Amino acid sequence: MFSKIIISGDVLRPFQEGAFYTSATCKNIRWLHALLAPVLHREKRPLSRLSWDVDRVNDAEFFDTPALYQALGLPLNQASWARLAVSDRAPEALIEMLRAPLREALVIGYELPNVLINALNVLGTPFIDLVLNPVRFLPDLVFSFRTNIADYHQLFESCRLQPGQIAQQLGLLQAKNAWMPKPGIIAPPGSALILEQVATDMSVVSDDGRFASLEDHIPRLHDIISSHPAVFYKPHPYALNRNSIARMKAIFPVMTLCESNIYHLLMQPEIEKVVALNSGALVEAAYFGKETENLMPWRYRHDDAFAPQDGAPGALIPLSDCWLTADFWRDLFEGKTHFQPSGIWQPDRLRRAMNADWGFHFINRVVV
Amino acid sequence: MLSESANDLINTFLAALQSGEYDQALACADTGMKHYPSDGRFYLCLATLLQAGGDDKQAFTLLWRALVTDPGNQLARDEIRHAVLGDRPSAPASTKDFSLHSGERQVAGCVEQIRIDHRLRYQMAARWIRKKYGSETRHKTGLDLFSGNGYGSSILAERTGAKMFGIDGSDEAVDLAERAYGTHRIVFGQAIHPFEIRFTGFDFIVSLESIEHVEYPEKLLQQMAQASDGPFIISFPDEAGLPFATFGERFEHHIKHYARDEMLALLACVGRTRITAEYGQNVYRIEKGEMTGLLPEEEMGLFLPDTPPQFRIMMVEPE
Repeated sequence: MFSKIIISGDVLRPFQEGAFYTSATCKNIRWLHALLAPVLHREKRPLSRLSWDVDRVNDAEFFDTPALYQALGLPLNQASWARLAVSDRAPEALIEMLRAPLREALVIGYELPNVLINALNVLGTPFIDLVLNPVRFLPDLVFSFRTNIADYHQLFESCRLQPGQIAQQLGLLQAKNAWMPKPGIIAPPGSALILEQVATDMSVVSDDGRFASLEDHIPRLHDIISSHPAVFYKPHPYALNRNSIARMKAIFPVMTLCESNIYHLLMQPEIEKVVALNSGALVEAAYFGKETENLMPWRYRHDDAFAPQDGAPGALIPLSDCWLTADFWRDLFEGKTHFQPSGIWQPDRLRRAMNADWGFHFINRVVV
Repeated sequence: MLSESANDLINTFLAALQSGEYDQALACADTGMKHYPSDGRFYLCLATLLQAGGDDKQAFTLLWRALVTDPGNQLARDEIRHAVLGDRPSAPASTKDFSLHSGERQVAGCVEQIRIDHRLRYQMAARWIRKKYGSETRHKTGLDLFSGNGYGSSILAERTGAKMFGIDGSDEAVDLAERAYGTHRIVFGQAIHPFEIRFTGFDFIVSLESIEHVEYPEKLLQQMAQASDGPFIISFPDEAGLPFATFGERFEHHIKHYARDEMLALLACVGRTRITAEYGQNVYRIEKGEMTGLLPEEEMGLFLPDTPPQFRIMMVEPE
């Protein structure tokens, strides 16, 4: 089926640095490549990357994103990317740019957008896509896997992360919360929490290719704020632009800005509802027993179970860290449809490798 | 994209209202709420129409919504007061001293400085309300009768999540309450007993250390029964634990203290006979029949009244 493995990702996504745009995802691709290289070494198939990466090892690994935008007659910016990324129909120029590098390749991707998945489908390229799972309070980060290969999907399904593992971790956190001082907010029972998102995140790209924002939902937010005794507005820790906070406070002065740790907030019984635009924290909040409201359709669902069909991938399946073992990939590539994880979950390996933890460090300290 | 500005819609609404074209007025208000949801005026417009149509409860809800984008909106706050109390009465009908520092009220501008016995009563009331209504409490609106400087309404709102309206006879106290504790979910109004409460949709009423201050307790209870189909939480000096004949002169503003049976009889007159919880509280040190001061704070906690308490709190539910 394939003679080489290529690590890739959303090669179309730009990031604005001053007056210029660079790749928003080259580091994700480098990261995934570095993680998988040791465990795929035994497979004896060439392993390389395909990325819009100025620090590429060689030209064969370079995807010329600016040239693609030019060929499509689109300015290279985040607005163009958003429209492209959610498109279900890959433009010919994109397909042609991928044809040669992906010949006879298996693509292992980091959060491939719809348009790339469609391109891979047209090319008949087998792929596995890793999507960061929204439950980020587990012993380590979790990735959900999806693929257009039926046997691979079956193997992933056989080692799906079990709800009991989430429940156990939740219990530990709630137990710790019994000893923790409350966050510095006055929250009457029935309070609500509104979470901001990064303005140009994939999760806030709507189906028509625009960046959605909380300001698109003022009437609904008015309803929510009217019916909760206190509403806390938590900015996204990675949001660079604070103007949106000022605008929201100008519209709803009764909202209280709150920068307490997300898990600390979710563990407060007084906070009963969490509202956001497609934030993974909504999935987490539900585990903490909160009523949640997503103001736009989910970009990803991690609780489905459908199989791949007609070249389209199956559902996203959350896996523990079993994919960090050579045995996992060996069994996968040998066509096995069942894998038994060791059951031992080494904590924080992926967090440390990712150099990010989405606030988990706050509650993971021995003493808070 | 709507071509009319918010001001255009307001002007059209007012013109339609004046000419009696209520359907057009309603359409303007609806359009305004939809396209300019952060402009509180449209909630006021719609509330006006609903009041005219007799839907006082829904109108009341909309008036509170107007405060979400502008909690200091005096028009909305005044409309809420008007919905509850009607037109403001003119000069007081009594010679009573309604000044803030008359000695009748707590005066501190923050809850933490309020004497603990007062706070404990409101905290108990809040616990009871929260237990009764659970997660639905945030949809409730309570009335705090004789709210003084507002600390009790604040405790109730903060600990239950309900909206609160407080009534007190003192202009000064209400001004202080509005400044110190008024929010988009707590509003205060001034009215002198015997007053009429026009709004009949309160979900619960709290009236602590109030009934002993009024000449016409039956009128107060009648107003309470009219204002709410929900529970009352009332507290009063208990005649058995704090006989008025013996200690009345220490309470300049009290008119009488009540025996338990007396209070039950008064409640029965307004159709309330179901007492679902009762607590006692002692506040004063009484030695050899003399009141010698306050008890230590740790002795002011509420207890099940198997011995005559100085103060009694009753949770009175509808039949």
